[in-house]
Amino acid sequence: MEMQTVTYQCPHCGAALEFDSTLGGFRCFFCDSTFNEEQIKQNFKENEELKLDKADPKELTEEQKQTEEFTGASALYTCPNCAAGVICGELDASVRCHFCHTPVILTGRLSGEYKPDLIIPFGMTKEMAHQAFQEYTKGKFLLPNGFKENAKVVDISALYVPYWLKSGITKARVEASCKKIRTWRVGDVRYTNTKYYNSVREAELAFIRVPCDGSKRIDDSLMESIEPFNYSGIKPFSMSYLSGCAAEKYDVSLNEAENRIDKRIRDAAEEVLKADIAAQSYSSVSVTSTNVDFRQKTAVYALLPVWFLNYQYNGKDYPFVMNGQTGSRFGILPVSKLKSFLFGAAVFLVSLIICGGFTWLFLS
Amino acid sequence: MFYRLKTLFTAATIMLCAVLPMSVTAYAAKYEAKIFDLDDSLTYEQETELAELLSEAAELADCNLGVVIADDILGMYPDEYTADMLNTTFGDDSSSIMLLLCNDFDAEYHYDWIEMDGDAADKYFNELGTILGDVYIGLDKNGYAGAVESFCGYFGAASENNTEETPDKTGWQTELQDLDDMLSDKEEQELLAYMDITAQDIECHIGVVITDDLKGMGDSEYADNFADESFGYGSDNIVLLFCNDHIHYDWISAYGKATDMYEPLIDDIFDRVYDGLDSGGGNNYYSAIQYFCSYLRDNKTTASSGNYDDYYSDNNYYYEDDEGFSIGSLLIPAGISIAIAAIVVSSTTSGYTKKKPVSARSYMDSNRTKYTTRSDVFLRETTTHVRISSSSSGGGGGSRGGGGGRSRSGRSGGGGRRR
Repeated sequence: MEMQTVTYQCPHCGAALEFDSTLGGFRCFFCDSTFNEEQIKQNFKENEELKLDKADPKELTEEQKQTEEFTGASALYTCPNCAAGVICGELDASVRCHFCHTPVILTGRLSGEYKPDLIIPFGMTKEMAHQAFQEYTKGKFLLPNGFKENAKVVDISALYVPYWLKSGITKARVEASCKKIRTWRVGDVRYTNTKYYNSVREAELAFIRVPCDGSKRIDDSLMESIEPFNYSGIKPFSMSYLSGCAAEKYDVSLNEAENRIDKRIRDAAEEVLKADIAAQSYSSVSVTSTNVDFRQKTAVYALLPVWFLNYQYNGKDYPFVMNGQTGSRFGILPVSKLKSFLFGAAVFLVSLIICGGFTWLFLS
Repeated sequence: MFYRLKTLFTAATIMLCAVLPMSVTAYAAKYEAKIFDLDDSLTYEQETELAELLSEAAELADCNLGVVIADDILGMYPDEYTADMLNTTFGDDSSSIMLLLCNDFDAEYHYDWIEMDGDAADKYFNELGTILGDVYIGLDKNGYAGAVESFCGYFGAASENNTEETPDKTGWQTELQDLDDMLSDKEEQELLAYMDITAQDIECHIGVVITDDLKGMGDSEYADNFADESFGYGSDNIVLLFCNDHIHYDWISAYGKATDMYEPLIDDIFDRVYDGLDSGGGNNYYSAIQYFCSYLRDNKTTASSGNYDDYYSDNNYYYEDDEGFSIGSLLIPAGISIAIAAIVVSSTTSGYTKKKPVSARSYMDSNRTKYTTRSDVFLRETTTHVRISSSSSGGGGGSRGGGGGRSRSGRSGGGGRRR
């Protein structure tokens, strides 16, 4: 019941090859040899040609069927480097041997319906992720005192997150009630003229690869906060990119992900059409109905790069994530209640002085 | 000889014909004046007289003047209609003023309007409120003819038929109207003389009116109207109203500096007035008015700056509150400041725990966006107005409300009491 594995070993010294994001290629950190994508494809032809398609259930042996079932749960593999037997998590598709740290790719988790169509390789290094976290906390004056000294980075890891990417054409219709308001003054009388309109916009809108992460354990809003990804850097999937990075397979089905994606597209379509209505110089626009139909639609499964950094402060864990391609970042930070109160009091005093002065000058 | 005389005569005739029109032109009015009575609100005689008056006013005002009384403004805005009339009558960019008295009450909006153009706009724009105020006073007094007369009167043209004297802007005036026949003629004359002395002393106009019919108005409204009509809109004055219909209150209204001087003392004034009224067996209006005047003279220096915040009522009397410091004027800025502080702190701290997700608009291919429908359908239109209490500035027009008095701009105040 062992899972089939694949490794990428340096043809010069036999050590593990890893994808180097600064290089944009592959490096042996033992003998410092470097290889580009073409060379990897050449040297590891058998890996690239490995059949990852879903087999016909009728052709599987009993053992293979059990293996297929076991693939969906925790899996045992033998490290090709040190021969250690290691159990990995149910969603892991690319791991490091716990003993010798050799990058190991679990092909069983990348085959059949779990075979990714596309991948964006990492462009940000671990050091950049760490630096990003330091910069992120700068200027945040509501952080508790001693945060920077006492916050400890517990874990920092690169992970290829499974994503569903949906493209398609939508036909959207938005209807709105709008007003144009004009005021003028004559002596001590103020006049207000209001014109009422009914506005309709219908349009065909094309959306390209709207993402939704395919992992239940990862917060969707956290992933959406580090978008967008730059799809000009997207490539056809190759297992070689996973070498040295963790990867997971999806556990959110396409149907489940589509609900979230469709809502995002619906909201965006309404936003676009409402903006077109508002461009008519209305004083107010109030949407009364929205209708979005999806026409042509396609979905692909992709692995997209994300740096995860977990830190501890005052015994509590806080997450920090960074887009592994663009560097866009977000993290949850602790807030000092005392500083919040003092900040609020200062704003209150300044506002009171301004409002009180205005009242005294103009209304008294 | 005869031939030479004939030639000479012909030449002289030709020269005269050439020069005469020029001289007529030279002596003709420099500015035009037109009245358009489209509503047939004026008689022929009124229209003729008013046309002459308007012409005189145009010369005094150094601009063209026009008045249009219309009951159908052709579905246009009143301001658009008036501008159209002005341009059509006097031409574009001429120094002109056109007054519209709009009676198109079927229209959604039917406010009166004054449109100005050219040098006239530069000169008179800031006086729009005053001009319109005068027009309305004239309208109340003598209908549309009165309105046009007052319009002309603003620019200095006086009507021969106007037997009522326009308020003397140089001296302090008095007005006593005994509509309920409570005073004899002799008493009225004596009181007028005493009121006159008092008015010069306190440097405010003084008015007293005794009536049992407020003509559908409220007590304060009637008193304000009386003051406007007697002394002009916006003048310093104090008016005592005796209302004998046993429904409304007696009222004292004050405007301008009389407000500063006497509004805090209204209760005392009533005490004094009623002392006089009750003397000599009761209903002694002669003494009441005398006591009123003497109180005004004795207390003219008892001026408070208006910083009082009493507002209470009981069965007998109440004050109208004047502006000044109050707890409310501190609570409102405090409330606003609390709201601002809460919003600022909340939005700052929310940035520490969440971030607005990226919109899917980032994934939209805008080059492939195709609009199939774009429509904006006009449904309806409304125009509302609200009176604001700050002092008037230049404007374009006004609306005649159905009945009711006009609230005054600037400091005003008053108080009432029921006997």
